[in-house]
Amino acid sequence: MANGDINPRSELALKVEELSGQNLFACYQCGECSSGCPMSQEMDLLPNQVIRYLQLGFEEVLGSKTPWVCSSCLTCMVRCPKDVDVAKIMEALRVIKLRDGQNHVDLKAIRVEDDTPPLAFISALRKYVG
Amino acid sequence: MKKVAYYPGCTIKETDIAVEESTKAFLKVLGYELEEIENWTCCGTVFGMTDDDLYHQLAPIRNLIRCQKISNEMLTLCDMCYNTFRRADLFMKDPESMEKINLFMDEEEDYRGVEVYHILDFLRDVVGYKKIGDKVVEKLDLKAMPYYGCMLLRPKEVAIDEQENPRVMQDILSLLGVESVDLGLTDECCGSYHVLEDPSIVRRKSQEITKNAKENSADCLVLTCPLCRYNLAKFGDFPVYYLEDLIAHSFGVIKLEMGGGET
Amino acid sequence: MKVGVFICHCGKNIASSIDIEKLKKGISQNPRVNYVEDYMFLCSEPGQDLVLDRIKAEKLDSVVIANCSPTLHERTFRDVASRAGINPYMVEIANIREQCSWPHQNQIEECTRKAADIINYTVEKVARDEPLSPITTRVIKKALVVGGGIAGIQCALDIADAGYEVYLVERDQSIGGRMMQLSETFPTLDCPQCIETPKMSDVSLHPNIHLYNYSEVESIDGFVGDFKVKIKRKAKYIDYDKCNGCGACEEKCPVKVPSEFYEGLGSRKAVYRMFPQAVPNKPVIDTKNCLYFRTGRCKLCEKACDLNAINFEDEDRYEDINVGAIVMATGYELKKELDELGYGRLKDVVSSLQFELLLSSIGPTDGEVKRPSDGKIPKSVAFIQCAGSRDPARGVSYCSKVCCMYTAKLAMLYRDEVKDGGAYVFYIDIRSAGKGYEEFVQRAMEENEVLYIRGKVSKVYQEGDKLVVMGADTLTGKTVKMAVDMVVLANAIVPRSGATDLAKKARIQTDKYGWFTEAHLKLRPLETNTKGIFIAGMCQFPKDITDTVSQASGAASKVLDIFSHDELYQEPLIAGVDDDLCTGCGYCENVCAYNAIEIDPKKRARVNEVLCTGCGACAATCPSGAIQLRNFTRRQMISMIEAAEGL
Repeated sequence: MANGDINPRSELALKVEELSGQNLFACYQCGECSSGCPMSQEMDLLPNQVIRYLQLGFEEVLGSKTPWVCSSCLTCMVRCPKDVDVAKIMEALRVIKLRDGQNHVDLKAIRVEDDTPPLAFISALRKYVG
Repeated sequence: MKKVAYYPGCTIKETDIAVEESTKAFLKVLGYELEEIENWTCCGTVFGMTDDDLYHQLAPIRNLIRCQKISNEMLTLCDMCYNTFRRADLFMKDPESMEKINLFMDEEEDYRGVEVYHILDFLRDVVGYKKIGDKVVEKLDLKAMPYYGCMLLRPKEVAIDEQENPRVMQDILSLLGVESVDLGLTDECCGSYHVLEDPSIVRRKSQEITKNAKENSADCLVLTCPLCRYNLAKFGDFPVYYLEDLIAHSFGVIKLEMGGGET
Repeated sequence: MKVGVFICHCGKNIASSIDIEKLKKGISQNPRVNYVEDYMFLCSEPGQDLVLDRIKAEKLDSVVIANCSPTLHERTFRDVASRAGINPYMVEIANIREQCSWPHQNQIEECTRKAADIINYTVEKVARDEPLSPITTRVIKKALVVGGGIAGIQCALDIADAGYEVYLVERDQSIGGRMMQLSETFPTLDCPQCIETPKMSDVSLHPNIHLYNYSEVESIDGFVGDFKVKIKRKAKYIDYDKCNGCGACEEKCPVKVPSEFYEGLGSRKAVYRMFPQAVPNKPVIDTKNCLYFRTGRCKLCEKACDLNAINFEDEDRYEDINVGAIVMATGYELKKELDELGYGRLKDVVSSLQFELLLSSIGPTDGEVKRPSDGKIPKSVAFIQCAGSRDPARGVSYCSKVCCMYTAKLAMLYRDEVKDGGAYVFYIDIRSAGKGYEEFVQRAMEENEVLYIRGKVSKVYQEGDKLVVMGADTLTGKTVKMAVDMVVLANAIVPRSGATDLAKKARIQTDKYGWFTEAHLKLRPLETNTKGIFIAGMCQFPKDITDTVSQASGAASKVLDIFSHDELYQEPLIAGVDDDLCTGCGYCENVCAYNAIEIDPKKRARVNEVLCTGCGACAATCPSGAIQLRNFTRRQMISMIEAAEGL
């Protein structure tokens, strides 16, 4: 993949728009989502960068840690000045992989403590397993 | 005694039964009795966000339908259940979705609509602050940071209060004599379900939140979400209380041991 | 009747979709039409000359121009008709472009047929037109300027210098407006008080300017050339003829309340002048907070006054003035609802105007930047741009235009004053399009060590005695969480409270935000859709002082244009009443949005020719057809419909 092979109508972007119902080009890259994201420290790409990759058609964004580190806290979408639902875009990226059979966690490898609340177990599985 | 349809959820029943007991106790003082819904199942958290995903909606809707049998109002204590149910109810406001899901779940009656309450907006809107204030027998001498977390305030459509400036917890706390310290990280995500596969994330967030509380001179955190409570109490190194426990204590119906970590 | 039809090709605009030759042939067959000709561009000089020529040569008395929308060239061809010596209201436009060739491209046959229909029914109209004369009205050569900020001041001075009387009405105690609250102006770093106070002084001394401070517009009636305005002169409780501005009353007053001029960062007394250089330099009493008005006790000001100028018996007065033109210059406010940034809850999060005042030599801290919470000097300040602007999700989609510039300025001034302080600007873009503007911003970055971080801030919260800014730098892809001593917001600029009420009184339009709407954004930015009422300055939309002053002088010139005439002409295409048919039922009076109809004692409808705008609501409502629009009667409309249907 050469630097600068731009494709704003990439298959991935169109799929994300369809699943999330969002217009990727409504995002004007202000960075407010990234500023407020509580999980940003754990991410390789910031939320606004994920959208930028999609806008320009760099499909390697599918391999980013970011959608999996996202905790669906919705801070991004309530603050976005353009009303872009960034959380839905992250969900779309997750779902694309999950529906392709790529679970994010190996069910057998999960360790549950005695005191782990069922909530954690249930919500994590909903997010990470297709 | 007024009856209120009650949805407990997995974690309350499994690891946090004490907060259900406290709630039952103080609600009794206020004249309300919890009536647990029959055959309730997992609420289906976290809410599925893709537009085409109807499957994910089945779990919460099923429970709401079961609630319909006894009431068109439902109370839950868990923030995540509240959030999921409210959003599922909103989702069903779309006639096409409503029709598809009702058809699919043909073994259940049709979903008509249920008003979902979290304990906080139930106390504010149904019970009323005056009634609560009247029943306080012991005022607590505490400075607490009201911790709302994510699920009570986002998205805007289901928020129990003004998104950037919520007051309901502070208002209730002040009835109990508790001073609120609320200019800090009151709605910063604790890390949520990451505790399962990468607890270091939760450790970092919990430390950040409790450090902020300490710097702002709070004695403790007060919250209602069982997952947040687990995360913050375990990884935050700071006293964390359920609001319900504080209410019950100030009504004189339980005795809380303050100064510790977990309740 | 000798009707001439002139068909325009409009280059390819009309000719590409319409078969002009076929059209001409069709029209020539209309027995009502005496002459048909076509031309490439009728609106051009040779085109107009052609029409003028043919009118004279063929002795035409009425003309149909088949061309573009009448909003473009109706006036042009009425003018041609006048020059050709026929009545200009015997000219009708048949729009065969916007309403025919443009929407129906590639359908030549149908399009041509439709064009023929349009022309034919227009011929029916013109054949029943009556020659009309414009209506004349008088011009009262006095002006009203609403708002005493720099826009109002400049406008009033320009009109007054040209020799005409001006009423300058200002809601607050003093004129001067927002400019007096600023620390320095970009990019020249002038002292705004130093450059504005001479103008304020000029206003107060000018023999042609009636300065009505502490006054408001109560109602506006009438029309261009002859407005009747009621002004509420609020009770000041000070006799300005006796008061000499010594300030003894202010000193003795025991009441301290937050000062609006200091945006809440400092206080004033209940008897007060807004700032030391106030014009007029005589105070007013704020009865909401004055002890005497609240409790019946005190009167310390009265005792302190040697000149007996305090008058507790004063009352609001109403004054009626008669003016020929009005200029609105009511300015702006800052958006206050910015909860996620802590504005209003965190003491050390301040608005840009508040920070200006902290730096200002006439401010509450004598120009020393101090934290409102503890008075300490902040060693780190975060400046947050786009705080509320460019935010359709929260109701303000537009860019507030001046914030990038004033933020650079405030950061530079802060760095100048606190030499070991850190200034950090969080931005999305930098808009610095003005003379010397870009260089100014670059200077802030290069020389004043202001650090620019590209990322919109999501939240500001408290941690201990610091404020934590949650930002990001999208250029490096890293989040930036910064603990600072103070935060300065570039709040979104919004219209002044009360602006929409004033617009309603004046019957001028506002947009969805409350900005006064100009007649045409590009070509008529100072006029409103109400003739004789103009706008200048921020009340139209955010802009800097240069543009404000330019608009103020421009509005003044529009006013002087009106005053250069002794009479004004109104279009006569208005409602007229047939007394024989009118029964005085009053339906028309009820439905008129311009208050232009009255039923007289003889039970006949009477139309005020100057107020009537020819909207036609009355004509549509009248059950007997007594009231109709001149040159757009029922008879004409029915004939047009019949012609279009080929009857």
